[in-house]
Amino acid sequence: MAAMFATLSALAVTFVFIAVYFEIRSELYERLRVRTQSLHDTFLTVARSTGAEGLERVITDRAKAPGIDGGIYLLVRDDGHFLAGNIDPYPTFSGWSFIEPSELGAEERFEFDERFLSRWSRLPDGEMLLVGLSDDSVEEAREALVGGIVFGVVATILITAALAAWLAVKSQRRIRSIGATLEDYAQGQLDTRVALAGAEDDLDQVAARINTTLDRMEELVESLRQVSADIAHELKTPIGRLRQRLDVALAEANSVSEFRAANAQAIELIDQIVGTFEALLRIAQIESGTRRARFSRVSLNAVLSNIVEIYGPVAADAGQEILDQLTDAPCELAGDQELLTQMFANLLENAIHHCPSGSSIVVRLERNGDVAEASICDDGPGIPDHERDKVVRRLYRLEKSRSTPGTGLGLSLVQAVADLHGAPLVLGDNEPGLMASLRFRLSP
Amino acid sequence: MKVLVIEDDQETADYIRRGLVERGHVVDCIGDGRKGLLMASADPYDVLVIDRMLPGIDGLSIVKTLRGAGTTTPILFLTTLGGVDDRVEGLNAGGDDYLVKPFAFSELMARLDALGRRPPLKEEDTVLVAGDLRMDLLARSVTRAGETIELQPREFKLLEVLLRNKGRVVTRTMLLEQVWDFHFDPKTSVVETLISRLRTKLDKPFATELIHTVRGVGYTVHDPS
Repeated sequence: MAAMFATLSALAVTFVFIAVYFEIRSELYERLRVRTQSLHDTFLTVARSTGAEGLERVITDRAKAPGIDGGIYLLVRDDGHFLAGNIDPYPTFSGWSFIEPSELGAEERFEFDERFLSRWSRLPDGEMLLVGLSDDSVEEAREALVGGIVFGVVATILITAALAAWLAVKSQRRIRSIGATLEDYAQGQLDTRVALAGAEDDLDQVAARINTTLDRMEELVESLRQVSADIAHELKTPIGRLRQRLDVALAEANSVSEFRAANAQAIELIDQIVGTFEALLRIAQIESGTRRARFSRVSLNAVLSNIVEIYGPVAADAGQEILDQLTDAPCELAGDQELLTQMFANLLENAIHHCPSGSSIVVRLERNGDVAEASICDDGPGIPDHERDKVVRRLYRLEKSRSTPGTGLGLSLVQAVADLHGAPLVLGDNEPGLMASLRFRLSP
Repeated sequence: MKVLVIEDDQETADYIRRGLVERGHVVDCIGDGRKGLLMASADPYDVLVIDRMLPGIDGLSIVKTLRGAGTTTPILFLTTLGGVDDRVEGLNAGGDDYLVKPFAFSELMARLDALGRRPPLKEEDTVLVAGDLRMDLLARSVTRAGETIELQPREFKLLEVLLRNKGRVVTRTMLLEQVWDFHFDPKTSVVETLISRLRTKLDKPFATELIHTVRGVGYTVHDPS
């Protein structure tokens, strides 16, 4: 990864430098051309004001100067006869061209790779004028530029490589640490978590997410352990009882009708055991959270008014009254209609079950902004303070209700569904009685 | 009825066969999923009972294949998979009903009766009768011996389900599903309470009882004999 980064940077920088080089080079040559043209125009002006003879004298004077001043000049008659200048053999062409020293027949006078940017033109009287300037200054600049570029590219490559390596080493250490934590977790150390570097960067974000996932997995493992423990402990009791009864029947029953009776009782017990088992499984399934993927838009108003309508007659038969205080404001959220119905049904049934005849049960739904509070309040005996935490534990029954039917899983299921919907169950004192309430975050 | 049972547990298959034969039905049992699929495609059955967990091809695939091929025979899933999503999955695959093991034979029988005798693609009846009871589904009215009886919507629905299944037993579980859309077992007497109210309005003021309790199984409505 780091190597790729270094290579790409180097390539990018190189391209930029090369582009700059070509740009500067063409600019320099353009300047040379302008200077040559300017010199050429000067000579033309001389020719126009003082005629060809005047120009001849100017060029001759110039040619007498010691050495070559970086320029070549030549004036010839249109038949090729030499008039003035500082070169002898000369090339012919029209317009602009670069003249190599070899074409001037005097290599030893020039720098090895110097060239002359030159121009032929015809004077009004027919003479031919050649003017050229050396590109040695351009060449020097070019060489300096190339040197600078090469240095720049090499330096960039080295710096980026060093940076990339340093970054890679830093990340590697943290990545290895994440790997080690996950390995420990897989080996059974469920409380280990990835340490955050406090840098608040990508790796830290990943680490935080991993930690959340590990939390979730620990919860699931715990839930699974819990279910296994519950099944083992709580189901063994009724199964044991079943076995005892059948054992007794085998030993003591004599008539067919006695056996039949024992058989019928056994089936009843088995149905109860299966019911408990299914309920435990359902709670575990709900706690695993996978149901969330199938959530749809649910109206709390509809769910609660449905429940009130269904249980009205049931409460009436028990000498109780259900009052509804459901807001008209729509309370909709993403959820599971079936589970929510079952949850509220459980709470209402609990109230009906635990309250004596003559009690009132209020089913309330209130909306405050984007939060809805649903509560089921009765004026019955309530749950004592110290028991409130425990009642949601699986298979826990209040001491006074141990003898009555029911699996004691109702409130565990309520809590599981409540947690699934992000609305934890709160049990409070209705003064008198029990108030079971849940606060839901609504969808817009 | 002609019933095909695709179930790999021999004991369960025998249990079902025995019960059905006792009641005069014709039963074929097969333990292999692929063979079962062939049999279901080849012969006309009144109802199919298919276990979800089968060796080779699973029940869900069998049903999807049958439905895909255009089979409209009613299908009941019989399975240990009783999870919240399992039932939905089964019904979405093309099953008509879903029964979780362990089950009471009476429950299975009641459901098969309801499925097997369903008249295929017949126009929905808009008037249901039993004895001198007349229920008009369009007008939402119920009369007995000419007298109009006022029913709450839920009571109306309960009577409708019982009348649609006239002559057959409807179990408590079936009623919970069809009348209350409850897919769990309430700890209170939801069904019993409403049956009792319905009886008070429908049976008590009249000479003959129409709603009968079948002990340990459910309820039924039939024409007075």
